[in-house]
Amino acid sequence: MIRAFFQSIQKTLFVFPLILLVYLVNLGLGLLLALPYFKVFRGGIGNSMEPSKLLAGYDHTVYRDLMEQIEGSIAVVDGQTPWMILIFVLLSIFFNGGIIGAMAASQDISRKSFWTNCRHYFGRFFRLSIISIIAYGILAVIIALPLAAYFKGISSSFTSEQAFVIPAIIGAGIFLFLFSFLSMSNDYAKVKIVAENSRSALRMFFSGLKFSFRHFFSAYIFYVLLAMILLVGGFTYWKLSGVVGTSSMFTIILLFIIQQILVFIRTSIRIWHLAYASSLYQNLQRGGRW
Amino acid sequence: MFFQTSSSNAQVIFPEPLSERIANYDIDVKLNAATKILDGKEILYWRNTSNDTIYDLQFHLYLNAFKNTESTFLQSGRIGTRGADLFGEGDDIWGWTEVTSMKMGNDIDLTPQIEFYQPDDDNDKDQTVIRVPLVDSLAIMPGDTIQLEIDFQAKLPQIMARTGFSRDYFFVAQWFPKIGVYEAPGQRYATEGQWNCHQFHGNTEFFADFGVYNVRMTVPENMIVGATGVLQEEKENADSTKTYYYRAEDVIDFAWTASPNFLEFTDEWEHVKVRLLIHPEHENMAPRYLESAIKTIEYFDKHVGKYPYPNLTIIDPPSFGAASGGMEYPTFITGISFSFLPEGVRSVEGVTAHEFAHQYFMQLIASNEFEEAWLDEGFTTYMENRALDATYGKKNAEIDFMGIQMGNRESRRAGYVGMENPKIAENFRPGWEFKHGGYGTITYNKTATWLSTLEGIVGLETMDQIMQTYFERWKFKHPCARDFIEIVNEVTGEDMQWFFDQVLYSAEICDYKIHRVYNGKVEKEAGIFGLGEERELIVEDEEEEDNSNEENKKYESKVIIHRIGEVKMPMEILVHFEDGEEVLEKWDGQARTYELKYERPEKIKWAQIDPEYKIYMDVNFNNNSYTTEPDAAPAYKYTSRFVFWVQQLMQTIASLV
Ligand SMILES: [Zn+2]
Repeated sequence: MIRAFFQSIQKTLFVFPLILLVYLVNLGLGLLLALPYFKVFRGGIGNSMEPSKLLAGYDHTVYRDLMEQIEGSIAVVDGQTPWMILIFVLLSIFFNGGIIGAMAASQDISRKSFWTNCRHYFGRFFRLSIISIIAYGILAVIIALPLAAYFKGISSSFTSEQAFVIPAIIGAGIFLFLFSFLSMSNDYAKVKIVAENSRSALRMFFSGLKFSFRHFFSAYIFYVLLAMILLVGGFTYWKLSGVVGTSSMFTIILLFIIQQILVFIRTSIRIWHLAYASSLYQNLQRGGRW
Repeated sequence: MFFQTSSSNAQVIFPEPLSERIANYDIDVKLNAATKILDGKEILYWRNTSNDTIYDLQFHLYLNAFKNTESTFLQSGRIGTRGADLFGEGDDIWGWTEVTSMKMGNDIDLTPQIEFYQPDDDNDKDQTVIRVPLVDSLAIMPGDTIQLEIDFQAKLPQIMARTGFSRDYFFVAQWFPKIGVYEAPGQRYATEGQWNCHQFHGNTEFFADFGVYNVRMTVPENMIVGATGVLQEEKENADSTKTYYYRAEDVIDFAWTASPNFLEFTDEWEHVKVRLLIHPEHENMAPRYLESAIKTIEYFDKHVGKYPYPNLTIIDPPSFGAASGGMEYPTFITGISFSFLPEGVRSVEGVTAHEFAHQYFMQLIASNEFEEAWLDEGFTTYMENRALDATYGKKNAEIDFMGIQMGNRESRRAGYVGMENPKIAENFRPGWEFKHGGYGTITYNKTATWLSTLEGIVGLETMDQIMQTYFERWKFKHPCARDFIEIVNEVTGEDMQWFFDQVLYSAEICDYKIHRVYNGKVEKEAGIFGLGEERELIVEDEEEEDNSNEENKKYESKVIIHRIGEVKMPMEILVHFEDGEEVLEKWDGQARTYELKYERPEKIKWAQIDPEYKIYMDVNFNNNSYTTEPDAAPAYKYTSRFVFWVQQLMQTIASLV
């Protein structure tokens, strides 16, 4: 595990240009939405002085009056958002092949092989994504059904809201754990698809699960570590945004930069996990100690 | 006095009656916790304070609203009714009241004369009002007091709208045959003497005369009881039951509750003892209930008038009886809580303040809640907002949680101006006439918002004077719109009818807008002037202009204002020039468009209508100001935030599949 850890850092640094690529695509798509959003918001402000009150902090009256005016146009932008997200997700699935391919090869990161790998693995990765979405759905149903049955059962005998809230929290906890496990094993499935050049996404999905079970601790501890980094990052942002504030154009730009750094870190962490999955798999395949 | 016979062991609360005490009840009631049936014996002493001879009696049997699906309540009132789905499972979800016997004096049997009566609609299946015609010999002469002995049985419904049972929790309200209000000519809107005794509608509440209540409630011995009024006596019976005797004076209603699970907490403010009965799972909310109650009592004492009663009881319903929460009865209110409620979400405080405010607007000033709900709900909301904003902060009294803050007053206004159709109905309309929605927001939010506007126009101090005068003059009585308007006119010394015509009797909205601020150079005269011989061409001299020094440079500036809404309000307009000079203008707000014009060495930098936000009912404050240097920063702020979250969302989903 330690070796995989250091190797994963190496690999992540190695594919740094690809991280930048994914981040820039992410930012680009975001900015495509930003343009109409900004236009609507700017139009709503017009020549009014009220919206300046939104700079110091949240002002419910100003915000509601403004929204009342631009809600319809904002809804149009909101309506485009899911499509933009879908485009990014598809591109991300596309890039995954190239990224994992580069990590597996470890020395060849030529532009040509990157695009070749992207194209080569896209079909399988896409199928794997569909399978994992179905798996998430099944998981949700498996957790929700007994919970719903339990809630229905106690509806005539519960004595307090605790009877609902506590099982709901436990249910959510179990769901979160299984969900994260599934999402983690998904990355191992991707690594295996590339390493074993397998055409069957379904077989690799289960194979990834099996691998994750067998090496649960070395896989999941790292996954949780990354999740913790993200949480710390989120918390830091929350605290920082309170300190920086948005009272002037300068702090707004500063906050934007902080936001983008956070998104970049997020992108890196995402790819770091792929790198770790790739390293761990390679080490264990070679029968190395971990 | 006539009602002391059965209450000889009672402690008198007010040595001098505070009200006319028209409708007085002695009630003995036994609750069967298994069948949810109340067996009651009621002695009603009712006084004819009019100059009319009265030939019939009318009573509310409110619980019959829950008797079947055909009641006017359940037919009309799905919109606005509270609580759970009545059409759940089980046979004992329904509720009803039946008068099994009615005698005048001790012997004259009126039972055969009882008939159901529908004054508001032609739904002959509605049984929420009964009428008892009296033969001439029994007619009630002016000044007479009659004594009626009424035996009744009532089955409590499963709690859906305020009243009923949920398992072992009983909330007993609107439970006994309750006499209507006889309105003499000139009283409120009556042109001739008549009973005011409406059916129970989905949207409406109640109306009753003041009186003294002596109520003995017999319940299983494990039950803890809370009720309107003051506990006089607690007695254990041989049959494993307990009888609680409560007395209330100068109140318009009596409600009570019983549950084996209540925990009790108490506090007090000057002469007012506050008792909280709370369910154990909400125990952590007790300090929030008590603190907000005390703060609100204090605020009302300062700004409206003295709460005369010695106590206030607050009931916190269990989660399975939540539909009884958030309701007001004399000296007795219900809250709503949730044990996981974050501190910054002040709904416990909000509901407590609201229901306490009803002690003034509903109980002490007993307006007709059927016909003029705005007089109780709207006034309550207005004063509740004031009390809460003063206690917890103008910008965060309602919510201060996870970066979202809102005050109560602004939140109510946002509710009104954000309505899909804020012109759906005018305020002045009986509750049951809001047939296609709008009852809640118009009655609560709009009223509170135009009362804030009135406060803005007359000033806070005068507004307090208005409220205090209204309270002093109309406590223990039944005022109507006209009475309040008269007080406003009297206190302000102005005829304010124009205000009420627009805000109360009309559904129109108020919206003013600064259309444009122009700054142009003053143009010199040019063209042909004069007649005949004296005709002369004047040309603008470019060179002269260039040579003119800065001090002579002048701008012709204009502020153009549009009135978009039909409501007209006088207002102030603040004009700010580039050199920092400010001019406060006044406009009567009448015309559809209006302009302010200046010739000055400096340009106008910005202008703002109503800079102190006095016209709080203006539906859009955003168009009330106009600056020549608009700031795009807020758009950048929200756009970058939007992009950030979209990026995060993209990353999250992409990392899962
Ligand atoms: Zn209310």
